[in-house]
Amino acid sequence: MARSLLEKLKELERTAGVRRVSEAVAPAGEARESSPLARANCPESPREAELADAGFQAIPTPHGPVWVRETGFDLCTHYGGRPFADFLSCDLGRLSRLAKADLAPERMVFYDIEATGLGHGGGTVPFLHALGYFADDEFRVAQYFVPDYAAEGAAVRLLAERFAQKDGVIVTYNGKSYDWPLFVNRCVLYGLHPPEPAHLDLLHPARRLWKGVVGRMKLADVEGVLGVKREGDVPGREAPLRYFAYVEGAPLASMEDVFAHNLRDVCTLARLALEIAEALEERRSWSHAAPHVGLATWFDAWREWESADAQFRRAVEQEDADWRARWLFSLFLKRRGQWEEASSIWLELANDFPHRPEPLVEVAKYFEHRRRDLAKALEAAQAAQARMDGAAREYGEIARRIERIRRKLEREAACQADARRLL
Amino acid sequence: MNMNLEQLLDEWRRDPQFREQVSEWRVTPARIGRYADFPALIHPELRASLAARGIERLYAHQREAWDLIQAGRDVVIATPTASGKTLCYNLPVLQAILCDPSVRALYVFPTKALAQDQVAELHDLVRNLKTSVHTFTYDGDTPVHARQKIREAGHIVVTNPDMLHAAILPHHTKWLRLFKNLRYVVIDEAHIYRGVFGSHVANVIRRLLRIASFYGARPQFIFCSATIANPGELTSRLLGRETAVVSESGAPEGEKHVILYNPPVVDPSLGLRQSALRAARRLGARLLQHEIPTILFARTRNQVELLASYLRRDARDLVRPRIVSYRGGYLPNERRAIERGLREGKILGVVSTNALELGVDIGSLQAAITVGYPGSVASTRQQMGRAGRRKGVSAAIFVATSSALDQWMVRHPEALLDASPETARIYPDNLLILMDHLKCAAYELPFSPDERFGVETTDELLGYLVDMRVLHRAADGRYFYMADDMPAHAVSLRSAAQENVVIVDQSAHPPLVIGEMDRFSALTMLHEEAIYLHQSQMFQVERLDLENGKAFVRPVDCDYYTDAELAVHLQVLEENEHANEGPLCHYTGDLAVHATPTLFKKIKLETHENVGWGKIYLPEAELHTSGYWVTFDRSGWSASDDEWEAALKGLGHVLKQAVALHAMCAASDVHVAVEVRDPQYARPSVYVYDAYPGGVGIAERVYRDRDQIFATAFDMLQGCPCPSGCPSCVGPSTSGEPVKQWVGALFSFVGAGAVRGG
Repeated sequence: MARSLLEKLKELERTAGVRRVSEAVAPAGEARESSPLARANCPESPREAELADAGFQAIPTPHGPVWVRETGFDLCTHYGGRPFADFLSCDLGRLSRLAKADLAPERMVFYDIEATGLGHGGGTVPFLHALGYFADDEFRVAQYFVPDYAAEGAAVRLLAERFAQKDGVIVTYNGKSYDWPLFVNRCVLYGLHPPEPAHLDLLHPARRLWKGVVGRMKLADVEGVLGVKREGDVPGREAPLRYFAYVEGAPLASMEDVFAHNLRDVCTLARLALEIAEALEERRSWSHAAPHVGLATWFDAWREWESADAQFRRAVEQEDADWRARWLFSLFLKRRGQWEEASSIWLELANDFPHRPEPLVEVAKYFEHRRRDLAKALEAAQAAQARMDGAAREYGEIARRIERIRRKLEREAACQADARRLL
Repeated sequence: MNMNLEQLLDEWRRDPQFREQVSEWRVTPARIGRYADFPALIHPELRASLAARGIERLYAHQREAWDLIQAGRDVVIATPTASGKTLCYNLPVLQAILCDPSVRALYVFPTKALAQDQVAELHDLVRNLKTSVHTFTYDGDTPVHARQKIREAGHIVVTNPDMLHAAILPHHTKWLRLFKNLRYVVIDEAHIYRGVFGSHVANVIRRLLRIASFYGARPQFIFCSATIANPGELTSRLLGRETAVVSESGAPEGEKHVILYNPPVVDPSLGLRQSALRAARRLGARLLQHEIPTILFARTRNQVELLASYLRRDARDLVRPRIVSYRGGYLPNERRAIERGLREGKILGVVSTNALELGVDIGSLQAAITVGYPGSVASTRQQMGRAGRRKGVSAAIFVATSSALDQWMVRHPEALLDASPETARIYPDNLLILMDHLKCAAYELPFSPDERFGVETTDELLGYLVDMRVLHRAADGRYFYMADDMPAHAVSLRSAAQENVVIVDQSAHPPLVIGEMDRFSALTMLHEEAIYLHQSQMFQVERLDLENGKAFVRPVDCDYYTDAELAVHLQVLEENEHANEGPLCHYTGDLAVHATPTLFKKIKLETHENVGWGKIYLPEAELHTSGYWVTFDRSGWSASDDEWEAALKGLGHVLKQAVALHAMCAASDVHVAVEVRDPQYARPSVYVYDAYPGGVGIAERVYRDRDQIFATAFDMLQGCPCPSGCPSCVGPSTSGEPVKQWVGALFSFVGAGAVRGG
């Protein structure tokens, strides 16, 4: 009658309704038949031969071999319609300002990982690290692959050294919240002090430029802007499943799609950096307002007034120039003291957006303080008030403004009466 | 003219009518404090900070704890409420931090409210130190931007088991500084960690220890617990290491009166007593009339609100606004305001659910009234402990309801007042719980081949997870987590089984999840038209969607509850042990329970009358669990099948009550089933089994302690004043048959067995 522990467990899990996610999505198991573990265990195994055949080299380290495959692109190679060489000749001045680091192509590393999950915890393992860099008239991508969990330590140690190089800058897409913290986790796990290179995360500038123009701001969405085309790409969420199958014995060939995906990601990073650098150098124009507004707000913050002015003007010229573009431009003009032009935009906005009180408030302020035309100020303030919700905070403010303008008007009337009497 | 408590007690003592209802009146004389000097090594800053708060020496138990902790022991402090337990752990922790600012400590409280309370107290102590000691609360409310700082700079991180499990442990690399320098782990209110919750927490502690050890730390544990029978055993099992127990309080105590009050019989022919609520109202009103600070504990939220409104109605205008109610479901701010009002004496009377039983600081009140047995001796004592002061008289009154258990309690004051309180049990090696945490642990750090996680069979279990493709065995033999999710997110510490049914209140906007239940129990508790009680609010189930694990309910106001009949078919999978005792035989082992709900009865509250029924249309369910069962020699009592069945059912009902009393669990934690002709043994049998898949150790305990449990059950049956069996003792039955006598006949088997066995 005695049941084995495992029998008991299986029954228990079945009746308690435990779901086995990995089982449900496991890829076809034909590759498992070739008893892979045994092969992976011995040195010089067919498993290693397979890696070598696929172009991976073993870098010997004190903690075991690190497997890397380098792919070089001639600088003349076009990617997303532009040769890699263009990055070497473009002006990185404003991009440096954005990165808060001194950028130079030879010190930049474009970094992207593939990991066993999207979590940030200790059990999410990056199994593929790609580092793109410019060297020897090439754009090279080194892909560090972890063929077995046990081999990870050596790879992490090697990469930590690489990232600790002086004045290095890593360039990522969403790396500040994903790739880099994951790498830091791994360093901590292997008892290493995490390196602290300068880090330019292209997600943030890309979002400022193209949010609202492209869809969900995933790297693949941004590629649309760059003219990069991907076909037959493996979806990112499938990468972990392919890897699990591989460590359990599926052939390396099944990983090639993942390698290709990762390789393209890094190429896109370089192409995206070029795009943003050139945008910052004002060498781009779009038929959308949003990217121009994005540029203008950077320039405004950097006190580069002329550039900001030019970009705002480009923005409001576009057909999709929305409330935000025009409103931000008007406030910019106001700060710059260009009152006439600002007020004309406010009047247009008040007309085009009949429910928004803000432009009328600005008009009221303008007439009250700049033009000292109290009658017009009162008119604008009252029109603004009519557009407000009685419970809003602004309502109280505008009510006080109206009150004040009225008092001023009375005082003015009194003064005029006095003046008339005196005359 | 206001009387003080002493005068009022004196009046009651001289009132024969009052005395008649009192089954026990016990006076514990005042006790002076036992003190000890500060340890010589105490840091001068700490000493100065204590002096600033008027503390010039320690209570003996605080010093005892200090000495044990300095000697490197893991300890549990199990002294009564308000004996200064907090200082027992704050002192060594602050001492360590003052001597070495890199030292870190982790405080774990079962609830957020308690955590906040303790942080406030700690801040008081820390404020007077010259060295700055940073204490931070890390829970669901902690803003994201503050988290980074807490991970880096917090000397003392205060959290709860759920956050530890789902947010801290899986992200241990971000907590490097904490784990590397972790010297102390403080686990307060450890008695809460029993049953399924405790079994989960024990596994969370295993994971914590594993991670600490990875970073080279071996933290010492300091537990605090209310008085339970086995603080040492419980905490040793939670921790997996021996703990030293500090249980003799050195704090002074004033004179204390404990009164067990049984409301007067209002209908002698039926043996009907005045309701406990009404009696409590009468007593509470007297106390409050004389402005004696009083806390009243009622069992349900409804009762709390009802009693509070009665007391307000009875009170003078000036006193009325000083009477409040307190229960779960109030907003945190509201609760904090009440707690403060109590401490400062602005609030005179509070009616509470057991929410205030825990160590939330409300100062000491003069009188506490417990309305109805709260489900455990430990809990009763905890409530009584809310009245008690270092100086002056205090009184705790237990008002019994008419339930069999309450009536048994007033007849056995020694069980409530002298006997050691219940033992809190955990069963950390429940396979399902263990497997859940094994996955979480593997995610956190790979397992090495020879590593042990709680059980000796760790490698077998890891191998199983490899087969299930949850883990991968790497070339170096270590086990790595191999799925793209985070396992901790799928495991809830406070719920029973996986794949629970969540209970959705449809009347809320948006619909609100108010609870969850394992699928097996859902068949009988959440079928359509079932009445589901949640914190005493009644809900009716409108739809049960088993496929998607949802039950949709709506609040109702009705005077009945439902009880579903299950057609149960039991299969013994494995007998682990058995004992032949003459005409009966006891067993424990693994069971497969196949159950199909058939119909449900509507049973009127209070009177337990059957007022209607309905059909249930649900598929069969299967539960694998551990059980205790007993079979009878049919020839020992000549009766018909129907009589046997009624007797077995009645025995099952009373056994269930006794098991709940003995094992410190809710009656719903165990199920009972009977067979007149058991297919396995061809004998009449009663099965008692854990309601949780895989079992949580209750059944094994029933097997081991069966003599005591049968004795208690027999006593409950005999003590019930009904002539031939009533819903209180043998459970609901429609027939007018002498079920009580029949059950009594079964008990005589036990006696016979004991004689023969003895």
